[in-house]
Amino acid sequence: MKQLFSVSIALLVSLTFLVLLLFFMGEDLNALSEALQHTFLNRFGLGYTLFYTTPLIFTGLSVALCFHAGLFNIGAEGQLLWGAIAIVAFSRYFPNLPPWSAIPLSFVVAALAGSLWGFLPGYFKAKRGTHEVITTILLNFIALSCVNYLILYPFKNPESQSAETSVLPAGYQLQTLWFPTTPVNVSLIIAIAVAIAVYVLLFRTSFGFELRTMGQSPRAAVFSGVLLSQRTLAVFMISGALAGLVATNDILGNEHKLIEGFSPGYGFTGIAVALLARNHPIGIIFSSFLFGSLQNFSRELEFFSQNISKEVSLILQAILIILVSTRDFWQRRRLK
Amino acid sequence: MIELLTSSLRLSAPLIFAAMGGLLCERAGVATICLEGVLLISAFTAASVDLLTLNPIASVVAGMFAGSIFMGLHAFLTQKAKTDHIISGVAINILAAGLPPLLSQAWFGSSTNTPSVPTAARLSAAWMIAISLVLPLGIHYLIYRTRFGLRIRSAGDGPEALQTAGVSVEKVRTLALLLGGALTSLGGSYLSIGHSSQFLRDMTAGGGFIALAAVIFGKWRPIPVLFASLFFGFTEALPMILQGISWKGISIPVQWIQTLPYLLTIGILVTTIGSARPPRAIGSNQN
Amino acid sequence: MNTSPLIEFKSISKRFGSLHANEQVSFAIHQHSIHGVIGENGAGKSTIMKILYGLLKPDSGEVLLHGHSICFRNPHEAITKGIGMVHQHFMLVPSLTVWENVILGLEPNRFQIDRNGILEKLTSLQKIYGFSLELTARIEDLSIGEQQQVEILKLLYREANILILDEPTAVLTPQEVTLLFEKLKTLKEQGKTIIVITHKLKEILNYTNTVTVMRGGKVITTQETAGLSEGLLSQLIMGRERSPLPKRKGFSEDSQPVLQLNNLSSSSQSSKPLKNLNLSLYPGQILGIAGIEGQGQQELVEIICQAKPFTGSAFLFGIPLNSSSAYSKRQSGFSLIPPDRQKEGLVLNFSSADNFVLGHQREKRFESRGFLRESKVLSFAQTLMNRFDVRPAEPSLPVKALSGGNQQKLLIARETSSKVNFLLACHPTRGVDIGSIEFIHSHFLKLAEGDASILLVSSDLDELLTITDSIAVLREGMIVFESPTSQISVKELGLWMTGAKT
Repeated sequence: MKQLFSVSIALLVSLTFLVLLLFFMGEDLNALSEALQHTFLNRFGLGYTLFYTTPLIFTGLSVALCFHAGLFNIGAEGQLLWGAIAIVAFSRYFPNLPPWSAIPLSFVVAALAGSLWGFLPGYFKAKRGTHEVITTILLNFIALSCVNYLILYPFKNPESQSAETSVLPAGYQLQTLWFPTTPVNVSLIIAIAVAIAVYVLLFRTSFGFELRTMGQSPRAAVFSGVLLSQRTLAVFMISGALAGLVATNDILGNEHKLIEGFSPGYGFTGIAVALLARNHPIGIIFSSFLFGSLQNFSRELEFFSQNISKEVSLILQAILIILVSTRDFWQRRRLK
Repeated sequence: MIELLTSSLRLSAPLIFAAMGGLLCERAGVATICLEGVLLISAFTAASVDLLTLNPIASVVAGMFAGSIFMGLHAFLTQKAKTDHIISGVAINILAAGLPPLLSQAWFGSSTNTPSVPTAARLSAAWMIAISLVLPLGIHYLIYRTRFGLRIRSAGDGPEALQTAGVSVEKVRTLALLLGGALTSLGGSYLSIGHSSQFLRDMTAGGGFIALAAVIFGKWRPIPVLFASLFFGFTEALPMILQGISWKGISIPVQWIQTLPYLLTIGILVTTIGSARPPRAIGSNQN
Repeated sequence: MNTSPLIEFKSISKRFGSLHANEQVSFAIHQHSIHGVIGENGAGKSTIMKILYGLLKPDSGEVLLHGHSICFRNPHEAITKGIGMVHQHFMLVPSLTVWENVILGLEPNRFQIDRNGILEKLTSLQKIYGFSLELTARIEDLSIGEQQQVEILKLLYREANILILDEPTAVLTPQEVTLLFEKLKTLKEQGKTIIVITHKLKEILNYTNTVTVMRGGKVITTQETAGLSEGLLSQLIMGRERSPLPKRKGFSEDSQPVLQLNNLSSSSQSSKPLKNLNLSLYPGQILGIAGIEGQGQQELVEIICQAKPFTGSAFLFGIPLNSSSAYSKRQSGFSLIPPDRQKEGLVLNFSSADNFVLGHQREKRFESRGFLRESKVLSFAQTLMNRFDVRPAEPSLPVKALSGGNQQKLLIARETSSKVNFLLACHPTRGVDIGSIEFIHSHFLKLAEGDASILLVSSDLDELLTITDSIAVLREGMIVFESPTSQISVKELGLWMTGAKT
């Protein structure tokens, strides 16, 4: 309840900021209401909002799982890129698979690829003590270069002028769910199921208990017999897998191909998503919806306004992170 | 060869500025993954002000001011509001990634870049490089020979001791961050109006993170950090040389070469971290 | 003695919630004296000193200095009035030099530091008060005793006339204790007034001029030390006789050792590596590891817990140490009380129930197919909390809500509730009130009675001498001395610990 209250206040502040911004930029306030309508109030808008929610659930979970174990995964962005390219590669080698095997296998392949990229920072941390924040960030740059290379050369669509891969075989194309003409697909349901699974893993199993112990007090974990290096590796690989799943939503469900720069920073937004939900897996479903709306909203705002670019979502995101993470501070101030 | 050397120095300069700024903050006990954001925001500010005033010095000052404001926000979040240093850094990086495109779109009609500044209004790259090479000596002096330096080192290594000695850790850290932000911003301004002639959205390309790696590689000491930055500048210069080279008609794809600085940075971090000891209280909040 | 006191406490009361930390505390301290304040943990002696030093504000009552009422808002104000305090945990920056630490916060220069001028000034200060610290050495390279001298020098540099020392001897060797009090005597003769907070009877009797005894937040008496005996003082402190510990039956070296370390050395980077350590522990034996802090105790504990690699051979229950998992070791009766209960033994944000599972989370009684069995955990926690009198006995409450003594009892309950064959206990009574200490000691003796072996790592020599069968002294990563406890004196132990005897 308290959390809901503080999030509402944070939202209110961001909205106020936005209105002021629009005002000072000389925009028509109609743009705001049009954008809001196209985010929530019509089927088309809501469909897109849900479509943008899915990847954030995955990256939010990826970040949150690491958080619970006291680790920072700022590498979801790189992990999800590998997940995407892995689906493309897999579909090229097995173009004739029927949907009932192609789709589930694509999920597995995407998760595996993300997991392998997550293995690296986990290994560096576990074996060499290298701080995961810097390695994951640097690995993002490496992943971006490598995947761009793969898109531009081996997997390039020869018929297209832009940097994108060929279209996936028919068996790999997911149908839209509930909202016709929008790309919402079964990934959303999988994402929600995964969130519940992560909840169970963290709070109901002994493995999750060990992870949380590690996050609260690494020394206590060591003395209770938990092998930190092993667990660090495991956590990073699971987190990587979660991030890798992001690709399924866009590649299988929407574009049916991989376009250079397809992620507008899902991995980084995942940090905000996790933070807003206080790392609670179920809460992440809702905070993903919030940030998914923001994503869709800023796209619509760019469309309806004269001069606002869609990066306004980043600013609102930053404001939300700042407000939520300083919640205790404002409360202390009020008590004084 | 000469070409490689000069382009190494050109590419090192922003790293040195950012690394020196980061070093000050980290020695004071504040983790600063927001160097990247500070570089970005100062690069944009300097370019915008330069377009308006055509005065490179005023633009650098404006860039430093903007960078200090962002570091000031980091100081407020970490020191006053006791937010986690990494979270605060991420928020600042996101803010700094969003603000320039938005403003650039509104002011110059393009969210990806600003127009070019006229050559006459550009910052002298030679001067900036020279400053970047001398600056570490100044930082060395500041840290090891002055009262402020003594307090910075205490804030990072024994904040309880500093606090009980009657000095506010919050204040020392905030000052270190403001100064560090200003120094880092020299690097950002150099990028947009010294090294280049306009602001591009991706122009920092992780330079802030590489600078942070240089701070670690240089074990948080100004002179070794200078050499670490020069080395990373060299790895960034290498691709430009390698790009032209082909072997038996096969040239290395540019994307592979681009990963080189990041690969080397990770390689170095992974192999040297064992011997590096960060300031004891880094990332911790005084209560 | 002077007629007008230097410091006078008048009816000071201070409450924390429902706890009366200080209740109507009144006593006086005279100039040029060493004044002891003694009492058990929780008697209120630290509280009253914190009030004097400006760290706490009293609820009622007043403090007089030179007959004037004072009320400091922070330690800085106390310092300017000449009152300085040496905290139990030193407030030093480890990577800085001695002189840098001394001047920190009161540097004579505003910008550039005049190193030579400062060194000159500090050298003459050292001469006046008979200190001989190397001013350019780094704090981290100094012994604990020397670090304490730096703390005192800091106060002298700030021209403090009243020096408060909070449990100054807790981490010192017997020889260092003697040295410290000699220094304090010199300071007293130079005109300083010294207040020593302690719970050790001998220090009061040997070195102080006057003493205030506190118990349960109240002052029992303030009087001249001359004329007090150990028995009388102990009665005043405890308010009752000390309950006797159970008798020991001894152990035999005929059976196979529970723990055997041969030529054990550290193989990872460490500040205090172990060098060729040999140690045997037999069933029913309580073996104490004595030593100054940081001589390799941590390393030894971590190696036995398999958190660090080593060379040489190590057998636990007759099996090579690293051939069995942490889990199977626990199954065969290995228990551990780690050095820092708040960071290593417990997870403060977890509930008491979760803390009872810590280390046992993979055992059948708590886990089935990877899932934790929460009802079992809860009922187990409840039973043990009742049995070991952990208060409040509410398993769902986070452990951080418990007092230090209760946290330690919870830890010991967890570690000794199932069959114990080998207990590795590190500083089990540190920061614990006297009632809990008695409980813990008698519990350990009972365990040994049941043929459990205990390796007791402690810096409290009294503790080691009270309950161990034998004591080994660890210095510089080596066992330099080992002997049955009955044949050792405190003095001899101290000599081995400091390296005066090799």
